[in-house]
Amino acid sequence: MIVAGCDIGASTCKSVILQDSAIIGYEIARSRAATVQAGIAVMDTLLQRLGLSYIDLDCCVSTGYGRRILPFAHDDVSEISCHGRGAWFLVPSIRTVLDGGGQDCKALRVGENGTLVDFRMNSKCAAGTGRSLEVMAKSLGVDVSELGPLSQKSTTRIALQKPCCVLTEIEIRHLVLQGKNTADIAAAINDLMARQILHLARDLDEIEERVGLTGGIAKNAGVVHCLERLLGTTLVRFPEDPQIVGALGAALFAADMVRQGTNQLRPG
Amino acid sequence: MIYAGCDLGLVAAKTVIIKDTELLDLAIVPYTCFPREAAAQALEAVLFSSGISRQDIGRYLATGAGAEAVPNADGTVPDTVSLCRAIREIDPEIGTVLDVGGATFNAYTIDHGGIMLETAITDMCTAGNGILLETMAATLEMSLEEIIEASLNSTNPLPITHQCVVFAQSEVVSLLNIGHDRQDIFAGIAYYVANRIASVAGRTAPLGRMVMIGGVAKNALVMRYLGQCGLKLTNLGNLDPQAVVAYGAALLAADQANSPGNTRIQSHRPQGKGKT
Repeated sequence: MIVAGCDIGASTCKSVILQDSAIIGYEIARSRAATVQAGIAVMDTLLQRLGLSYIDLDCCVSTGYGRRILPFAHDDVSEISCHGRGAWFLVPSIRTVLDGGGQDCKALRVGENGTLVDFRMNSKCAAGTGRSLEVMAKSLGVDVSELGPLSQKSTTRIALQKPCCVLTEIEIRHLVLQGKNTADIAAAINDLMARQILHLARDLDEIEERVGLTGGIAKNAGVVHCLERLLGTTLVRFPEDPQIVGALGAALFAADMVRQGTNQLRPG
Repeated sequence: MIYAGCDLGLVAAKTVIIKDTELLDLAIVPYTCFPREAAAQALEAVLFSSGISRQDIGRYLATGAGAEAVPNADGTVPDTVSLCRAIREIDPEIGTVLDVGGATFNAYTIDHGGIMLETAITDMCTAGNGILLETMAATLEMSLEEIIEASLNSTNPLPITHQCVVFAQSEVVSLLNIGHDRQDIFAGIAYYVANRIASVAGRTAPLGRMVMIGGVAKNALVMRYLGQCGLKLTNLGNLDPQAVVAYGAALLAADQANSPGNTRIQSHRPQGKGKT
């Protein structure tokens, strides 16, 4: 049985292919304004690399903000369920999943059998999302991928106070002008991100218990380190790229559909 | 005698020079990275255009978020004090001031004696401020002036669902991609900004006449929608809405110079401070 999951996010598109519940390949590509084409491209590339084609797929499930418009998907599942399912599949002992995506930030509780218990998600504000991390990195004049390594060289603590990343952008500009160390500002950005993600999760029960961070933000070691310091615990380490967890969850739902025999292509 | 005031905000430096209480000249210098230089440039610009030399200025006061960074100022005053002083001079009947600047949005009520009664300050979120309008103009690849001009003809302002500057930016890109007109998109943004200003104004207990100051007060589109929302605003006359606080600082400089024994500013602290 070969199944696929495709996560059309606001910043990146991810595709994962499973063969009998084992990951045989995945692909991550930057999203473009033309959402559908970006989704098709990320799946095409992966199929080509694995020497497969669309008819070899028994089922494909889409997720993410562009999930309803993907033409080759048999069904779509919300990104909240997919992240819970994917994270639980990789680390069955996980109970809290924090997800820092391109335009959303989620916190969810997973039960012992992998079912979703409760969740929180941002709605109006970009705080805690990858986009705000990019805005802040840009105002510091570094690439978003450099924030993690840079922050490790920090020696003096700076606290950023504004929740809004646009105001923080101005604050960072002023810190740069005051001659503050770039590494210290990078560490302050990571600390702000970690506090914002935890702020979202503040009223979930027992969040400090077996926590994992997924999404693109999990690739920033500085944010992971700050979360660990704030929670007083070590985060769960995933055996796969933390950015593909949502797509992996979608593929697992696709496998369920094949088992239940409901993998007919949806009408329209 | 000639006096000057400089209001250094988060996005622009505003400098005003006055003769007694009469406005002589003003300069507004927007900046992104160098507030100190912008303040120096604004002073140089007014001196040059009015033909006055620095020595002729009796006293020069700095105010605003960046007051400490203004070079060569004779002192600093809080921006709320400058604002109250300016309002008392412009029209003592004004009781409510809406200040919609680049990065902050404040509403004040001021009593007859120029004492600040209450403030509603939004300094945690930039939704609905000047930055939103500027960022959207940049995303639509037009200057702010051009897009305002073009959008005045829009008959169909598009409803915008995201208020966050960061989210609105990607929403605008998707709206462009599905073929909407730039002026309808921008009109939708201006409509949202106007509604937000009107709703905050509705929440402060209105007192006397109402004025709007700050850069957004110069946006003809937002002002038109504010009128449609039923908000009655008093005209500021020939004073630039962006330079009101700087004008207040210049008036305070004159006050200080005319009563040399008493250079300490009476601080009119707001009695109630609420966040919106």
